[in-house]
Amino acid sequence: MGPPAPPRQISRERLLAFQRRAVAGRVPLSGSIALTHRCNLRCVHCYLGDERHAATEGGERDAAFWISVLEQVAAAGCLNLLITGGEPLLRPDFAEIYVRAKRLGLLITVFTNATLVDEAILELFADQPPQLVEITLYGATAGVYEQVTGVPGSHGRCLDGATALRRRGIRVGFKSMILTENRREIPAMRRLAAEQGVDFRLDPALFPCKDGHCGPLSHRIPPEEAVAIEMEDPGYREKAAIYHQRLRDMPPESRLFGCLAGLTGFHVDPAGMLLPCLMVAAPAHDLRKGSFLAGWRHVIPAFREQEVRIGYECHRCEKRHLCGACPATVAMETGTPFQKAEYICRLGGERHRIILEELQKSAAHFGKGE
Amino acid sequence: MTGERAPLPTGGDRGAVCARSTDVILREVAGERILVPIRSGIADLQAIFAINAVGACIWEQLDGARSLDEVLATVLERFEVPASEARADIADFIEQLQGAGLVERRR
Repeated sequence: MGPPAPPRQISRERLLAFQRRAVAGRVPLSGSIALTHRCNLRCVHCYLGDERHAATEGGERDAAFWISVLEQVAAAGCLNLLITGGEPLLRPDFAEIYVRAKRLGLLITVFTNATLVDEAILELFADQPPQLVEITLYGATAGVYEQVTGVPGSHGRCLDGATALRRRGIRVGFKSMILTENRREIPAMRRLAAEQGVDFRLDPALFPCKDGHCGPLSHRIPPEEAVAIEMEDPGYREKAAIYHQRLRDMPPESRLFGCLAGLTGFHVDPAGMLLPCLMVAAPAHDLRKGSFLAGWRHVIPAFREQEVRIGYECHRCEKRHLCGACPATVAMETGTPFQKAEYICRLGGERHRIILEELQKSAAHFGKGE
Repeated sequence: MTGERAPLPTGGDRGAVCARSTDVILREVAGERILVPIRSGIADLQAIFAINAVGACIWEQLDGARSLDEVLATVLERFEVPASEARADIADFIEQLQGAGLVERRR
């Protein structure tokens, strides 16, 4: 055995090898926990729908439960943890759970609306920083923001929370869905993020509520307009083009789910059910009745075994890496994962069209030797 | 860990005692041993520290009570390496850890 290697930062190549080992070994590397589905806002598009303002069936799990789960997932190899909700800062025991997660050596991201950031949270995060606090920002102005959230004063509290976090040196990012309500404020939101020196990401894909209610879909804007808004960000356009070039020649999968859900990814909902990801309801393993490892090894793998059916087109589509379609979210919209969702398909088609134009222009430019 | 750093343990300073930071957690994930600081914000996985098996063994021994000689004895028990070479490697490794703010010398 050679000398001890000096501690050094992980190179990109070593990181890629690490991720390949995690996939090969089915290590539960990245998980999310939803501490609650309750929320203090009433966003018009939220896929949680009425769950935000109702009691969780069977009740939410307490801190002792979450700490036990965190200890189990860390022992199983989890490294990246997302703490989400609803609004996780609604939990009075948030700090107790968070501190334990940090002590287990988990790299933590927190999703929040930032309206409940108080001095205690600021001190906690300043002392033991998360990797990232990602904040939903639905408008640059109070008028638009609160048209989405339905809560007067929430815009100011959101920005105050974000500013307070940044001033304590905590890494913050903004994100938003593209909605009928805020489509015209996206450029202003981008500017606001840039002025504050934080990243800003957009997503036009709204989903039906988990209970099947399709109300959120009425807030979608036409896919061609949504993609035009996305492509106003040159960074996004470039990344999408590189992503498409890298993956377009990959052979189609025979399995229905080609993502990392249930392979290196998992989710635990507020009732304590272990799931492959937060967008699916099955297979599920009750962590009150069985260990994380038992569920990870014996229940969750069934998710990965689902195969495509004859007549299913999406896994062969040349645009599949651009549409963002997930069989789970497609099923929420169409009733089955095997029937494509028209809106999502059009998003992919428009992105594909624009990226191909860009690539053809680049090829023509270099072809002329200019 | 504040103030000036104590002199680093050398190959001859067998009684030196070092302590790993209690704010750094050693994780073994997917064949990688990594040191995860609790009190620094980490932008991505490339900003944390990776060490090998021998390094992890030494890290675990740095409990603020064991002398350098005791750490050496444990390393020799677990790994096939000449004693003189191991002593120098341990001192060098601890120096690296101290430079990264991950350990401090107690005495």
